[in-house]
Amino acid sequence: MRNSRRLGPLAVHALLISYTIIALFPILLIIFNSFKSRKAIFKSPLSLPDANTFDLVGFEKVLGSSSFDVYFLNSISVTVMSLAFVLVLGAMAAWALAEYDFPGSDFVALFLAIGIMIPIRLGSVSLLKIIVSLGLINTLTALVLVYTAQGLPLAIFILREFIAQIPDDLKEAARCDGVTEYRIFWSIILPLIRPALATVAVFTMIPVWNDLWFPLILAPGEDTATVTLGIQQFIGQYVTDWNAVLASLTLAIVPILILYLVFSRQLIRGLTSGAVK
Amino acid sequence: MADIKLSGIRKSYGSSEVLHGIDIDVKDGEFVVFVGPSGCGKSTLLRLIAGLETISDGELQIAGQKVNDLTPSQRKIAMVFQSYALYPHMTVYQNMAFGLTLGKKGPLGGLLGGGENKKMIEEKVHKAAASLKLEPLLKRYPRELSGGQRQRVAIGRAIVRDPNVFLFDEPLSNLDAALRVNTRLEIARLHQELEATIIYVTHDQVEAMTLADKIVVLNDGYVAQCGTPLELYHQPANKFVAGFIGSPSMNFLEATVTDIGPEDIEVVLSSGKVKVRLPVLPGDLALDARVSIGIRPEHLQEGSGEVFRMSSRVKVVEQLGEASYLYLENGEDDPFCNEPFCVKTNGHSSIRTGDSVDICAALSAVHVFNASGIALTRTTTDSRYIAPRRA
Repeated sequence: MRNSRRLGPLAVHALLISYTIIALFPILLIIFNSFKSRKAIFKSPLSLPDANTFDLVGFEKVLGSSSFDVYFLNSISVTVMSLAFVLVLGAMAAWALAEYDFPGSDFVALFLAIGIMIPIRLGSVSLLKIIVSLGLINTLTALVLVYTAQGLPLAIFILREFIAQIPDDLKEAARCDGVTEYRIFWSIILPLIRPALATVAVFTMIPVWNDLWFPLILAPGEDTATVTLGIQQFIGQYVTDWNAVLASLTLAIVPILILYLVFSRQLIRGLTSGAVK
Repeated sequence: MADIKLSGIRKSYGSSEVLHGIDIDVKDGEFVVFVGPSGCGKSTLLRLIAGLETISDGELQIAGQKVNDLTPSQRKIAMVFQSYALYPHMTVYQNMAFGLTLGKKGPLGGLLGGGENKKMIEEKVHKAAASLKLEPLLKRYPRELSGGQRQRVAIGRAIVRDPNVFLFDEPLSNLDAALRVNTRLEIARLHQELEATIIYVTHDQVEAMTLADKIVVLNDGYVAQCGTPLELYHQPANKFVAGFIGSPSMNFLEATVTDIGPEDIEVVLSSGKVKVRLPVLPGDLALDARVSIGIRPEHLQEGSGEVFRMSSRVKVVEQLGEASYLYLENGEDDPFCNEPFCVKTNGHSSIRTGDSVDICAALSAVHVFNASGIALTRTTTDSRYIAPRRA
């Protein structure tokens, strides 16, 4: 009994640590090798960069010769815009579904839940047709629209649960105070679901940032390419510029890491303590 | 400030009706307490008045205006919730000022501010905070306050809105006993100070008795009785109110009518041992009818000095210091029906468990209820047992 009890946490830790290593290893490998010369990358891919193998040629190429700044700006604007739309529209829809009983509300909720189960890429062809007929091909707007649609179902699903947990008394107290429904939403509901918003933000932004599929079919132009698409130019059919690929991948981690750090600070608990006893 | 008039208020959820036609008049400046056991509909009734639930049928007037279809804020009410319902992400000051920052609606439904000017809001909040001794706490968050302080903030938030009517929904039930007494006094003081119309819901009859100008006892969606605390205590209209008001509650004994006079009736208790003439108007009572007679524990005394006399064995003695409660035995040929029979006696009584005691009560202290639980009118003029006349 005693042994198994002591073994339990050990086993759990061993499992988690090995998972962490497996998950982080490829990323560390990319970062190490982005600082090495081409020769060293192929000779000893697992070793850390040292004085002999240290080389910034990849970064020089990425930052110097290509239009990487444009790609970065594109990625950032698409991610931030989509994120903003998903959070605002998602929270508003979740509030409507959680708070108001209107005919068809159950159907709408179910309809949105289906959006979680069916991957949006199945509709790529129709999406392409729609975007073309809207004249939005090769624009960032097309990407923002598609990513907003992609992120909304899960956002609404998660936020609705959180909003439903906010005590009714708070909303009713506000209504007695003569506060409008809009202001209840902005001044009471939104601040109280901040941790949930942060969670949804993290879930939403990472697939958007990393996506290659939609940039490739909806906005493949030089001016509208995102980072993931831009990196492809270094991957050729016969020759791949590994220095540049690894350097751009390393750089691509930075903005999303910063965004993640911003949101993860919001993931604090106990925000509602003191509201109701 | 305003009168409130409820006429035939009904509320149904689906096919089940929870309030069956409530008629209540609340005068301007009156402190009215809705009291009743849980599930009697008292909180629902309060929420109907507040406008948080829709009224299924009947008319609600505040200050002479029909308000059935108005929103809570249009009704100019302020509600204090049992859970306090403070906004956790706002300071005490912000909590109190929140409802004021939108006197007039700006663009986006008041989102961008507008409305009453800042100085007036500051003045109002500080005035309310001062009267509730909240000033040192204005910058704190609700999570940093004790239960009593949170309750005061919730009351303060209601005061700053300067409403027509204050609604309190069991405001003291989350506080501990000592704080409850303090806050109760505080609320009584506020009522005098603000001269406000207050409707207060509680299940605690002590709160009801101490605070109310008028008590409305609700039972199962009906008004069981409505009157001043002393009227309810001395002249309960039915067995439910008689048992609900007063602590420990009234003792009931089963009896049969053996004779009917013009202004009194003779009954014999089910045990057959006690036969007594009681000064009540018989109404349409028939001979041999079953009745319940009720006597409050505090109107019984040891000895045999009064007309209504019984004796029994003591099962439990509860000593409270200033008084002792004797719970009398309930055996096979016991005169007392199913409930334990309680007698309040003085604190230094030497009676112990197992002793046999004689108890008695004045005839004017005895209540009689007919088979359907309606009280028969008592003819007594003994001022110890009747409510003082209303001024």
